[in-house]
Amino acid sequence: MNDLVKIFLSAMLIENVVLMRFIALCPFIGMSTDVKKSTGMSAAVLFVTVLATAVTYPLYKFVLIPMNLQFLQILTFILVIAALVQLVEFYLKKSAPALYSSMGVYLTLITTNCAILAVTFDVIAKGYTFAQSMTYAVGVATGFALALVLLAGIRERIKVAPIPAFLKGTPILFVAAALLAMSFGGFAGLIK
Amino acid sequence: MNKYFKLFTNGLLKENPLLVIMIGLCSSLAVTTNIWNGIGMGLAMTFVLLMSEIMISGFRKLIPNSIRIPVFIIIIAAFTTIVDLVMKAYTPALSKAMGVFIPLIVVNCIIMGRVESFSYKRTVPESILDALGMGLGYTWVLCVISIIREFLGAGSFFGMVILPEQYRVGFFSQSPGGFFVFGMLIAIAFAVNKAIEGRGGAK
Amino acid sequence: MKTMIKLSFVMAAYAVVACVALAFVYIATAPKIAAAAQEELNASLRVVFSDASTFEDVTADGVGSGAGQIAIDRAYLAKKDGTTVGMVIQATGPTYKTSTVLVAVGMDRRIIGIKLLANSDTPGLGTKTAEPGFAGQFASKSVDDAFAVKADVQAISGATISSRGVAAIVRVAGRAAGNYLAAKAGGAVAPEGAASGGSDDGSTDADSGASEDDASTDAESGASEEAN
Repeated sequence: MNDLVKIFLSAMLIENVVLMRFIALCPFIGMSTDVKKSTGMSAAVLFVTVLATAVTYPLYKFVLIPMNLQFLQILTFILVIAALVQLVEFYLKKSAPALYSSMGVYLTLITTNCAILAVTFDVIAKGYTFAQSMTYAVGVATGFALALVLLAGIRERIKVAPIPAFLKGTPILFVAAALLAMSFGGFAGLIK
Repeated sequence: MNKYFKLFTNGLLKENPLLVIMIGLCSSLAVTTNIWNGIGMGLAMTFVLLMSEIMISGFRKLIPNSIRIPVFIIIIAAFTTIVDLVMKAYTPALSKAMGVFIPLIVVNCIIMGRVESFSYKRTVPESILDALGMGLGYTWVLCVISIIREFLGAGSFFGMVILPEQYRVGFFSQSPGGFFVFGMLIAIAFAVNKAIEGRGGAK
Repeated sequence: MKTMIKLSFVMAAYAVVACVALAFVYIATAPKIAAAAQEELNASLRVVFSDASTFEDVTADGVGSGAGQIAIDRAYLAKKDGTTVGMVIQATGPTYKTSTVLVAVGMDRRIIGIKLLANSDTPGLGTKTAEPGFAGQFASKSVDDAFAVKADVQAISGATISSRGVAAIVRVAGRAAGNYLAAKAGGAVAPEGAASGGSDDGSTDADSGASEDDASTDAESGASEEAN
């Protein structure tokens, strides 16, 4: 149990996927325009990440390794993620059409969310057990959500702040992200 | 001839994938702590982009529209795997330094984006030039970021130590520094693009 | 329905072609990748055993699994031009927290050198075991010595537990290597009266008095016999 907590905290805070590892920057910049959109996107990412890890982990361990097909890892993993996103889209269209239309094209873009593929690769590379992999997946997705919502909150403030013309638009976002990253760097000593 | 030249230079500045369109950011900041990594990533990405654009443009009549996304994914994933295997074999140190970011090339938005919006609808020669332009545009930005970060953060240039330890600013080698340098570069790129347009010049 | 089947076939066709192409590239690059991995391993092991040219993994060949809480992770036969010149063992054991040590042993049951691979002890105290001031003292030491702090091992002041722990790991690993070499590669045999590979995990101070004297005299005569 103790190491599961360690894995979760480390994935969510200390090695935050966006702010410390630079992964999933596209949705970070593109989708953080307001807090509501961010939470919606984060929920979808959490769902797909956990599902993707749950499918790709046994796929690697029980199909690719025994058949010596590890070189197909990139191909199979991304296809699994693409298929899962299609399923999620299908399901959302049927059961929550309002959410589906508000997310628009960004739902499909979850397929190219670097964080999801990174998680599926990481759990294999780190040699985690299945339970550890699931914890890691939830931790990373929560960290992503945290970073996204934080930046969305900052963005709403930036809209009404006097920014020098040189930095208006995206540059100031990156400076804000730098400051956020610095503060997350402070989590480094959290787990011995 | 002029049209081809324009296609090529498009990706270098006017529609630079990183600074203007702002896609494909994931792999760019993480690996730019030193210049060799930056160049390596840039070239790897350019290779996958080039081969994918060539294949998809060449086969565009044979890829049914409704399943084009999965087919794109298959092709891009295949070339990414080839780059991954070749790098593991011939440049193992670089491959280890870049870690998971090489497989992440497959979800690099630049490749998916260009393939979907450009090479699926254009001829092979046009796609080649577009890929080279975008790839080079990506690579030069990575190089600039890496040069700045390596120089200020580790005090070296291509691994040759220049700045003594007291003058190095560790901030730049770490994550916040990456964001900061990139933000500044975007601001500069905005200003430069505006100046070019302001001069009435469609270059 | 018919279009769906047709589309599935088209997609499957692309997938199959991609997989076959990848298989070709894989087969072409696999030997190089394996060689690169082997070279990396050799380089990391050459840090302790600079004389050898290649290392052969013999972890599964009955080296033993350690003693008590000290576990032997991996064992390699060090070879130079085809002949065995010694052995490198990677062992992990309790120190203040845990440490992983690489121990290189020669054919004469003497330690060639050690290297601390991982150490989670107190920075500045326990981590000093990695420095040459402490680690260097193990070079040329016979594996049959007592490895007792304050007796034949100099501890780091303020880090006695770490020092004791590392000494114990080196002792267990060294003896396992010495015994394996003696059994399978014609290395020097353990002298009479020496302890048998270590059944305790760190607190050898009580035994150090008696066995140390016996071990050192026997080791000398043992070595000179082998030299003939």
